[in-house]
Amino acid sequence: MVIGALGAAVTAHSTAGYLCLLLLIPVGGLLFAVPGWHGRIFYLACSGELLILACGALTIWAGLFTAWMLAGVVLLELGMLEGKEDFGVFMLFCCVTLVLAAVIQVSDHVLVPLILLAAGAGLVLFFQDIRNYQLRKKYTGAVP
Amino acid sequence: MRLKRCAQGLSLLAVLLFSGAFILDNMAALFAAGTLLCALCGQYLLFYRRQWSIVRSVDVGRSLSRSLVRRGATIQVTTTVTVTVPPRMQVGVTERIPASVAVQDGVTSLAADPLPSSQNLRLSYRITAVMHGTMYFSGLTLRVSDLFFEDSIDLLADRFCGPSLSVQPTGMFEPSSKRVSIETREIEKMSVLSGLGIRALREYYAGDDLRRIDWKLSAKHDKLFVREYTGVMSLPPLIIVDLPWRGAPYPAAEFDRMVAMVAGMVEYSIRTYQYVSVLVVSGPNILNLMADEKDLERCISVLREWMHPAERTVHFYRAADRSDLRSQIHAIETAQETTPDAETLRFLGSLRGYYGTTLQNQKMYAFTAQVVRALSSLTADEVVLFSLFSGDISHIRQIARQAKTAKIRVHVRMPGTIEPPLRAFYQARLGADTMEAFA
Repeated sequence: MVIGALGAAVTAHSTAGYLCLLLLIPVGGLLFAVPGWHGRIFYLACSGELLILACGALTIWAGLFTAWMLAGVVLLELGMLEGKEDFGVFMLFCCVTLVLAAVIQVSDHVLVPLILLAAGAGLVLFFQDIRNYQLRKKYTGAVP
Repeated sequence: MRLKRCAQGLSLLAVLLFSGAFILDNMAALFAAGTLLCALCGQYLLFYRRQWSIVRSVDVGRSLSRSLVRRGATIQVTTTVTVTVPPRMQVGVTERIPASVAVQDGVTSLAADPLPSSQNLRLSYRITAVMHGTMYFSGLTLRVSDLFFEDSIDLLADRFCGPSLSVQPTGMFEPSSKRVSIETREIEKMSVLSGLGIRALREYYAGDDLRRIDWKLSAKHDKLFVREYTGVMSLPPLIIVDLPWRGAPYPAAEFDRMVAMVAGMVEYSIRTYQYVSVLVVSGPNILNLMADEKDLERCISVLREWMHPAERTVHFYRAADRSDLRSQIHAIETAQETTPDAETLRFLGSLRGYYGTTLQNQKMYAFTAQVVRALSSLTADEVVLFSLFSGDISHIRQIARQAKTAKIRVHVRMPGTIEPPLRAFYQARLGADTMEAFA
């Protein structure tokens, strides 16, 4: 994450790059200064999102790299990056965000990627809900 | 499915970023919001996948101590739930109790730990059937949660349900266990008239009725034995009415029922036994004693005069007898033997001293002495006590105790709205022979 932020700052050729470095401070502070704090994961995600936003404003690929690093840090902190299955889920997240970054890179305006994102999420939730309904019917004793 | 606080916060952040991206046409904000949305959706899919693996792994076995009981009976239920909980998931299992039973004690809900292998959870509890009919255990409720989401699902399929419990009704006015014929009652004494029950067995003496010989016992011991049957006597029960206190709220409908039932019993006693005795009390205050009254109209007019909430000059609050104090002291001594803690021992020692002093100075309550005098002045072998059981019941305990001491059977009549478990508790506490509701 530090490398991504540094790289973005160096290649930015603007003062906005310093914002990326500055936003590393709250992330680092939450990660190392308050290890035992109960709600730090949420604040880590929020501050990390700001860092992704800053890096993404410079170049989308820096934002993508930062997003991967942030996801890895959060999953490690939650203990959700231990088995093969967990790594598989993480790789799937990386692929999906890569596709998202590519779509955003080729689009000029927000509308089309936003619609695609909403449609994708809606389809996933729709099919998941149908599957959920079928399983509930089976286990709650309703006539199939 | 509910979002936990963390997921709610992240969703709100995503919504804000999406709104910002749309309004400002900012690709970076859209990307940030998109990554957040992907993460949440991914966690949602993972949660459901794990939830359904948990549900598929659930297996339930349920057993009852008895499957056919009377209303008011207590049954032991044991449910064994086998479940496999994946890591980082929390699972809670709650038994779905039929609506017409009341849980007495035990465990009806447990949490399962995330372990790699399947685990058995044991729910063991006791229930009391409050209504008659067929009760069916309809399954379990499974609560599943992880860091971001939580959900609850009712497992009602056939494999999670059953068995059924049949509850037979009990009559509101069931006859007492002793055989009673009209106008007579069996007693454990010799009498000119014989009842149906066998009081004792003795050896045959010359002149005994040959029809009373117990041939089975005689053949066993190679000696003649005869049965001695119970006697029969005809005495009306003493009716004791406990009026509610005027200074506290009481259930008016139940009080009207009690008055009607008392009047009915008085009339029945006069018509059947030609006389009746009624003792009217209100808490530990004796208000009126109508002994051996033969005139029905006079009875009814006296009842009309007295049967309303009364003022109590004396009140009891958990009044303890000498035997109660002795049992408390015994309990303290037992606790002292098992407690290693010095401070607790000191406390128990001072408590024991307090109870000991109270026991030394404990005298018979004036109310108890009055009840003893009233019971000894009347000829009765049964007492029917009517009360609303509102407030302290120490005075009822005193009456029941003195009646049992005088070998008088005690039948308590109480409101039907009192829960059966509470009714059973009162019966145990008072030592009454029967405890019934007045309709």
